Amino acid sequence: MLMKQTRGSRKRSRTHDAHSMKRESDRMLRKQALFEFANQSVFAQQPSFYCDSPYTCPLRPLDLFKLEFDRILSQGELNQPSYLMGQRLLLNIYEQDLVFLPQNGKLALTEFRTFYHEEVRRAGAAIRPMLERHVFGWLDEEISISGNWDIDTFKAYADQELDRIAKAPSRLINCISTSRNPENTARFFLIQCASDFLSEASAMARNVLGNFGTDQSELFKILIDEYGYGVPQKKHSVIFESLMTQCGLNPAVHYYWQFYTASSLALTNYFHYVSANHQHFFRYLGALFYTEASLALVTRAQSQAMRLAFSDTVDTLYFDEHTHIDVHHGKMALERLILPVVQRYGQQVLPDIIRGFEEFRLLQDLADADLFSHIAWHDSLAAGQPALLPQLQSNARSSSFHECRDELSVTHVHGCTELFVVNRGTLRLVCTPFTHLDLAAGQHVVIPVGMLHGSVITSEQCSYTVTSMEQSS
Amino acid sequence: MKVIHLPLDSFNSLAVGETKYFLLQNGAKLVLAPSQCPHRGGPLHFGRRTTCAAKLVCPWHNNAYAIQSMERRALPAIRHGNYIAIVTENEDIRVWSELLPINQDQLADENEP
Repeated sequence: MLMKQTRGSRKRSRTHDAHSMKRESDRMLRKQALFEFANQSVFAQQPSFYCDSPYTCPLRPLDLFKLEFDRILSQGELNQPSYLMGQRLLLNIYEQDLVFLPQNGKLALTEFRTFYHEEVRRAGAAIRPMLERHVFGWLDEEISISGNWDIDTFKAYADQELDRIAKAPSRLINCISTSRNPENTARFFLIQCASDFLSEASAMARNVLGNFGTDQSELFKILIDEYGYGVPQKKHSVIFESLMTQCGLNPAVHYYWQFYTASSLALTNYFHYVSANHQHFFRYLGALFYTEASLALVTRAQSQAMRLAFSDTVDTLYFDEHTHIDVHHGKMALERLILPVVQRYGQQVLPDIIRGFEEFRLLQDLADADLFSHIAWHDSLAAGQPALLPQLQSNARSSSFHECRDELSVTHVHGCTELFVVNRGTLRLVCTPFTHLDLAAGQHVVIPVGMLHGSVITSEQCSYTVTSMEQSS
Repeated sequence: MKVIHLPLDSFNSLAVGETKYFLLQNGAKLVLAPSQCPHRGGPLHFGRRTTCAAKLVCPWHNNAYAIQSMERRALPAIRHGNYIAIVTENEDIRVWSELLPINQDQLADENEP
């Protein structure tokens, strides 16, 4: 018996070792694929904060050495650098499935070929599940659906949530009207929308192929509304381009890539995430219903916010169109897609539908809160920097950097609140295309955790020190 | 219908009208399961889990019920962080806390009847 147990335990131990080796080998392969993907020239450091082509979306690959994507972030860690990096990587990966051609006529063929290259696509496909788990895995922990749901209880729940949105005063209107510069605040909001709206409904298009009967036709009808029935001027992305232009923004796809917050990218990526793998199709339907039904309610306020910021100088058709058409799309998603799907396939599909509804609602709430936090920080910077250096702990982590003129640090976030002090020379801290702070030797700024910013050196030489303000134990 | 949001640290038992429910951990999910045994109405919330933890045993007649199937009679609920939202037609709702050994890990290794 003893002998048998020993053999058994040896066998188990060998199996355990084999599994550990396989896990380690898979981890190394993913790491290799990650570097292979991120080190492509199209994702490298750029000389500007603006992206001239849809294929050159910088990733700051130098940061990859410090980041770990093999674990699931918690909701409290969404302000961390790996969340932003994960979302940036994912959008680049998802968008390799979409067709982008620059509308300014300047097609850089080498960039085009690199972005869509087979090996880059393969590397992206190898790391995609890891990244999805890293940035969206927390939703599994945060939200769970249980019990005996039917279509009536789901409708009651959805009605209550949508009613809450309809009755709530618009935080966007309040934020824009009370900000120091309503026009630039409105522009920052539009930039956050741009990662999605300039290729609007691309994720939806992933779901219309195949064969799923009449439901497929219903989804297709929503898609053709989004794409303007083959009339360019009616295409939602074109209407949004026009709004951007009128607001003094560049409407080229991803021109403002470096200014997308991680939480805005998460909204675009979530739809790709639940659409790229059709095992999540029912989650997609729930998220689609939430976004269409809620947009019908919030776009009225968004339209008003634009008028507040720009008076009558801009045409708010983009938001007005959604106020109208998304009433239909919300109804269509519920009555002609979700109800028939549940009737046909039973209540077994409802938990995923509810989960999609709830997950996207949460992501939208987080994105709104993050937008307002960023705007509050931009306003505080515009109000002037504090005169006194904050107290630092004696053992606080600190790093010094020495850079030359025009050296640009691609926008990023810090994992903790940090004190940024210029020791020599000058630099410009850039937070949005319209918010920057010029700092000279001896000047400082506190950069809160999770706040997107970059910098560019404006003197021949510059040195600066970044010190953690985190309370160490 | 009514949607009610409750903080999870404020209760583990709930009555909707005359029907009682209790919070039951089902893997990663929290389920608001019916307290009444379908056999003779025994207190399932005082039951114990089987060894595999997949079944709940009624303390009265030792009938074992798959927790998965109990979920089909559970209240429709969404757990969102430390809150749970439930949807119910009856607005007469009461919540309270009591000692529920069923959710304590040490009982998970009891023998299957």
